[in-house]
Amino acid sequence: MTFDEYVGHRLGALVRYASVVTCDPYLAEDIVQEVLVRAQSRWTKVAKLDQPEAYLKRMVLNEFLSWRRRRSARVIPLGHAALDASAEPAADRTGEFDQRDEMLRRIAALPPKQRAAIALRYYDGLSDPEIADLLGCAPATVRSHCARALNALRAAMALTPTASVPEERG
Amino acid sequence: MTIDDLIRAALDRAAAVAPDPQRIHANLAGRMRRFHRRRMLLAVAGGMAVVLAAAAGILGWHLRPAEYTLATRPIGCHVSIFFQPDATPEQIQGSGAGLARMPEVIQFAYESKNQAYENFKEMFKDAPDLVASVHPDTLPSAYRITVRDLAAARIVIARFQSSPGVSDVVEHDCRLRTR
Repeated sequence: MTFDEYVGHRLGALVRYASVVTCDPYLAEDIVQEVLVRAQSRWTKVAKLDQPEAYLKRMVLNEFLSWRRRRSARVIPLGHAALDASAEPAADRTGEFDQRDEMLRRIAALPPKQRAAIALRYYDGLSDPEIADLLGCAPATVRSHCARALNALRAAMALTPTASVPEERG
Repeated sequence: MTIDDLIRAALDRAAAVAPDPQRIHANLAGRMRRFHRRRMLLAVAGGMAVVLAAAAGILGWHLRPAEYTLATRPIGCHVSIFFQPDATPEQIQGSGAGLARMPEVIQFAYESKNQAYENFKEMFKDAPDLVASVHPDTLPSAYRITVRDLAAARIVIARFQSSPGVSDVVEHDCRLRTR
């Protein structure tokens, strides 16, 4: 598979992955471009791998967690403006969607490693050992990241007025 | 709705508001140009850094003896290389050439047997008996060397103590007058 073929077929998935991991469309765009540029410069090696996709995802994750990005990762992304800018019809903005967007903001406010652990577990459906391998830490550390993140998210939802009536729409 | 479902819904939402891949693809070419330009710049800067470092090293090498003399002029730490009575002039000159190349050596002078005897007489003029007991031929010829400190003295000693024609290399005054 050539670089152009890969980009043609799989760029969308990679961008979505980066968006979920970073919770920030702008940061995701920047990271994906950076990763693609670097992958292209040694594409012959990357293409020989069993799963180039997994390699690129890993690059995205590393770039997100790297020290160069930590400054920008600290900024709480995906505010109301970014969410409203997407093409969601106004009629769909019911309580459930509000709650979901609120949750997304809470996730975006988590520390980068916790955010990545949550994204890998809930979006990619990876197991703790797989996440540990990607993050370069022990499975126990992954469990601790996730537990802390869930605690923070639960606490945040309990404080949010919209979360007090979650059964409203089943 | 459980918190797990809510998290999944939120992350799906993040995926849904992901930037447009078409635009990223379109911007990629410019980004690659910038990347390669940056890499080239880094390579050039790295090369320049190496050249500058080398130039600084060479300059430092040339300035070094002057600094040595300036910083250490008042300090007297000396090494003497004494030659065997049968040392050849070639052996003595060879040692002198070796000394001239050593950065540790601040200055050095050759002292022939005759000069050694003259100096000996001058040094011990208050003890004529001692002077009388020494034959002019017994005193060895030597190099009298000034070095910066004991460490430099030890380097000179190690370098010459087993050279051909050398009988003895000793350091003196170093422990008294240097730091």
